[in-house]
Amino acid sequence: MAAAKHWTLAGAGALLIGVGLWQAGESAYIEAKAWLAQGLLSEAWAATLDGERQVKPWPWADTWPVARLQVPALGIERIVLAGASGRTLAFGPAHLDGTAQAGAPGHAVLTGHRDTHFRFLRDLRPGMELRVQGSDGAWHSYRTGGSTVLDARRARLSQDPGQRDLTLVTCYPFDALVPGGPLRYAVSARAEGVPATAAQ
Amino acid sequence: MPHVTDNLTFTGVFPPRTVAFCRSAVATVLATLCLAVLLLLLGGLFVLAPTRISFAQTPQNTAEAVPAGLFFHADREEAALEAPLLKSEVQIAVNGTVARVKLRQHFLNPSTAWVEGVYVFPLPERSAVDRLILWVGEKRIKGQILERAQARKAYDTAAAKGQRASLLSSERPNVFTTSVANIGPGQEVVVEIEYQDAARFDDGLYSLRFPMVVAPRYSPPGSLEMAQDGATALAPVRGTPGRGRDLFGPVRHPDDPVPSPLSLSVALDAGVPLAGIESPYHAVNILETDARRRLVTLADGPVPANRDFVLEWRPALGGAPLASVFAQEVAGDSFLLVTLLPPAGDREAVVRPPRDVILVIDTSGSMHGASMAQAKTAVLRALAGLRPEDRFNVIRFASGTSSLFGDVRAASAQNLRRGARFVETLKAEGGTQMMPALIKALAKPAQVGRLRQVLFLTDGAVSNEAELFEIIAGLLGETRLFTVGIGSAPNSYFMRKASELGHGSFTHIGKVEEVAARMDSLLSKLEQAALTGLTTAWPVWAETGPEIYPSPLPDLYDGEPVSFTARVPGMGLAALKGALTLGGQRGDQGWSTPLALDSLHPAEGVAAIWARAKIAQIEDGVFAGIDEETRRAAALKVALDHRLVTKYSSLVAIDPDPVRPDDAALHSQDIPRALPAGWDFDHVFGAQVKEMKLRALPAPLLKTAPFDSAPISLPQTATPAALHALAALALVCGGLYVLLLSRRLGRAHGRG
Repeated sequence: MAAAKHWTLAGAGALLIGVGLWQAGESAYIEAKAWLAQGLLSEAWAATLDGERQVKPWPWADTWPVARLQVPALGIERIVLAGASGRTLAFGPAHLDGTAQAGAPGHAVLTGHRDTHFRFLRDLRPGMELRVQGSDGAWHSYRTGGSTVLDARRARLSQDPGQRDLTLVTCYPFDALVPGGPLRYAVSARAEGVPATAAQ
Repeated sequence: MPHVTDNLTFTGVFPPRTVAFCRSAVATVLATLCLAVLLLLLGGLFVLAPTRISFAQTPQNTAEAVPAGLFFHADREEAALEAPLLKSEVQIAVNGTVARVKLRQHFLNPSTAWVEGVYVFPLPERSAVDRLILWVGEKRIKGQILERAQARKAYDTAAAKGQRASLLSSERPNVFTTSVANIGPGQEVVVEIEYQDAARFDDGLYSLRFPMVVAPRYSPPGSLEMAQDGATALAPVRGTPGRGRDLFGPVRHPDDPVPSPLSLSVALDAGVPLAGIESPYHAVNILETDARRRLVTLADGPVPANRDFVLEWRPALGGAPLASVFAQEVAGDSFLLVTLLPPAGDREAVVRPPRDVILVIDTSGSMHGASMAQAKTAVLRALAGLRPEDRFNVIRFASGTSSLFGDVRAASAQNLRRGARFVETLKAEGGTQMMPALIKALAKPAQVGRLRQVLFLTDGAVSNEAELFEIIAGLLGETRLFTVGIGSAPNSYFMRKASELGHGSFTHIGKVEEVAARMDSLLSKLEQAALTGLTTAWPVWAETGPEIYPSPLPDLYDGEPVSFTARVPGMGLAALKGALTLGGQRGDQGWSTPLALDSLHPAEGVAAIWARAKIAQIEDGVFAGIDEETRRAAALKVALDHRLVTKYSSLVAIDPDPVRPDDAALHSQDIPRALPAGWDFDHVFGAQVKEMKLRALPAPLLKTAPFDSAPISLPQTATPAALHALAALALVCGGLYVLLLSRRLGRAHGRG
């Protein structure tokens, strides 16, 4: 009788550990997806620079790389995807539809996950250089300006004609455990000089 | 349930041992599942709790209306256009304790475009601003008092139509904004503002303060970044590198050659023969008209508007009135301004209870230089005044807070030496996070038999006054809070209100030479118990009950007069007869003084001073839990009746004739304020840059002009990865524990 009880208890413990491992797997899956995808994306980006258009990083992908973002001071490089949907964002930072293309005149907005690709936003300081490579291979240099925390429900996009602006957005606060708050952390940057044409 | 199964089926079909085993197995699994759910819930709670707290901390109503102009108020215009030039003329007429001040602001547009000029400037915190006149050449347009939003709308409409217009609004009780629309190329427009003020009387000295500049304010990050009212509320995040900017707008860099000059004159009629008159911070010429009249002008012509002007006068010995009543009749009602110096207590007989003194010193970047030297000297002076039976502590704050001791300690020679060393090594640097220091100073209640006194030395360069006032009102208890305003342009509104709420007094120190005298006067106040329980007894005719503010009358310290304003409804000045009796309690001694009501000094403006005091009292209702709407309605009615500019009402003057051509655009220009004298630009903005650097530069996403912005939908950018990881941890730990339990059970079984 007691033996049976102890075996059931053991089974229950194993069950708990099993569910726990499954949760750990979920967590690891999210991180791994974010990390692995950037590798696949680099190849797709290389193909894009070779002249292909809308290169799908894997056959069933519904997005493609549109830009490469670098922060030399932090040693950061990210491949930016088209269309900021939840599915896309799992693989990389994404360009927000309806805003200007990164590097083009107008105001471009890129968003990314606060706990993976855009975690580095918290380390950006004013005056840092951001480099963006468009699909034509040209590099554009930006200088970061202000950052702010805003409410996504009331965010508005400004347009400053004749300027090339870039805003990076991620969720806020950075260390909140539960996703889904209305706050966003935004860092703005303005293009400097004329675009350099030489591909790196 | 088990009974049912037992009776119906299983008992017959399966051996009893199997049934029992199944039952216990099911129970164990269920219990384990419950445990799992519990663990998950606990984990969830743990996860949610910090998030909820972080949201609760975000201030709810920090979205302030920051002065902002119209139309092309974009950064890109700033560089291209020269801001309008401003010069100010001030005429002050003093009658006893009542002062009428006329301020003329000349806005000159040096550019070739049509502009709107916006200027933020200070006025005394109890000023009753009741008049606005817009002068266009010889044309005089009188301002009307309107509800704040209505006034803004009227002004915006007129500005859009090309009419000259001016708006005077209040951002804080001591911070005002003038906006002037449609100043043509090369044109000058003059805005005339008038207000009523009362001189302060303390320790035998009258003083009148005319503030000239709103010092750059530090806004704690939390209250700034959470402002959610579109771009205007986030205005402080804008600004350009190398150029200071705070909540109230741009601040001029000292290298910038164009100052905003100010000329000033005072016609003083003290009402009594004068023994002395002095302007401690400005060189002045004093013309003696007769024994009780003086004409004061600035000796070197116009001065930069960068430090408060103060005039102090002392009545001749024996000439100081023990009491004065200034009166005005308006629409059949009498308004009185009463000042009475209570008889001095018997100093020898006064029992001096032991004290716990907490000295709080502001070491933020804005205190750098002369202010810090004044503050240090003042604290050392206060330490020297302690007796062996007293206890003390010193708290300093800037971006962070630290203190000499964990709690108050005896004022032994050794502890005092440690205190002096602590003070001498202080450096002014960083932001002004005042709240933690205030909480630390006020959190401990006073002990029975000891006076607990907090001396708070600061320039008050903060913008979250309301939050701080709530802390004081909520934590005070029997502790008393005394504020000491330091520097050339302290935030007097903060100093006065904090000391009122703290049942203490406030002192200004404007230069290091004043420290000794001012601190000694303050220390003598601290040593004695206050005069409490002040009452007024009116003659029988006043059965309707005069309306008195402040009410109840505050406690008084050594050298301070009883001062209040009253409205006697339905009775003209001629009808006032008999005497008003003031009474109070000093320690266990009572006193009362009658005050004859038939020899009143008539003075214009007493009604406005009364109305201003009434509004201040209504606003204080916030600490009694009176809701915003009730306060607003009450204050707005008084403001509109008495034509006063308050946070709910503004004055607006509009020239009916449009002047700006339809094809010319209107450009809005903030006129930068000067930096207060003695302030170090790099220390002020440098310190803020450390904390606020990210916010000090343009944030294009938020630069929202009405016609060039589009709503934008930002996707969710956070994963539940961390949540999963936490759940995993909780579950695995729970599972391991259950396994351990089962092993122990197994071992026990093996032995049994």
